[in-house]
Amino acid sequence: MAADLTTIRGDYLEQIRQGDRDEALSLVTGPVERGEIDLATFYDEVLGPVAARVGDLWHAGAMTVAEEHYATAINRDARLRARGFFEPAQRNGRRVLLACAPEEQHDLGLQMAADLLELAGYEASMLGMRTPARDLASFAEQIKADAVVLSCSTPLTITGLIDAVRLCHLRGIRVVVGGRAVRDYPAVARAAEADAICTVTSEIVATLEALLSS
Amino acid sequence: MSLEAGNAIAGAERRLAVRVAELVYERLPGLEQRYGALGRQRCEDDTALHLRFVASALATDEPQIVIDYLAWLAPLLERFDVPPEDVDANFVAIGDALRELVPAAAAPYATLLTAVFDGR
Repeated sequence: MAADLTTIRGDYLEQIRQGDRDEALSLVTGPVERGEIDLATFYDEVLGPVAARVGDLWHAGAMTVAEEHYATAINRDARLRARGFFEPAQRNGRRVLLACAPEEQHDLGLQMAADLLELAGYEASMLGMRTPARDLASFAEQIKADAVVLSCSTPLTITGLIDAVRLCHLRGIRVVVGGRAVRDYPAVARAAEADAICTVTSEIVATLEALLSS
Repeated sequence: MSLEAGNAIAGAERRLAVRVAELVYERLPGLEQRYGALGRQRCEDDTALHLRFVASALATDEPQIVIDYLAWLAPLLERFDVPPEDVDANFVAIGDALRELVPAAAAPYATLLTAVFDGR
């Protein structure tokens, strides 16, 4: 049975707002467990939009900070649970370092990208949030990363992103940039002189494949 | 593109935020009474946030970043009873603080601000 994603998103968010974590997780990950939707679609069409909607609700004053944090935590748990239904492919010998732009505090998209890369056989090394640009580039060199993926959700952190890309390039490391700020402002990727752009989570594997084979 | 200006502002963020808050409080004496003892610290913190968006807009030559930020900010200001004029005063003070502390960024900022107000 094809999953009705609009209904799933709506019901899931409603369960979250009712404070019923267990029901929310069961509801939202059920279609993934049953094979009705794949993980990439789940990320792009359910978790990602719900996370954005939660942010919009807080912004509109319809969710408190505590409610927003609670929803975000459940979304993280949903990601982990859904990811657990899949086995990664055999390692392909490539290693990717993933990090948020320095000072960026939104990492769900990055985590989802790492999951998809792992499932495709990449070794996805995650730095997450708040890694200074110099340390990030140095670590990428240290672990001999084939590429770095940098996520920039808010335009707060663009100077840090540009700096991180520059320092990676000085070490001969190619960089993919993504995230909402990159999607909404094409000038960001241009200014950063990124090697590739990926603003749709499900496209991360194809983007890395194209970059690393060029 | 004003990548240098963006980086210069990012590098001087805290100094600029403190100076902007000083200027704003000098020019709007009623703020002390309106926002109380914590108000100036909040003004500094808010200014630091404004500066990050400004730095990003300059680094990418994309004024839409600040235009969208101000549009995003508007309902929050209303919710917290902050009049838009206070934010306008803040952005004017940023220009003055740049002339004092980061002069190389002053002209690019002035150009950005013109584009922002034209685009609002």
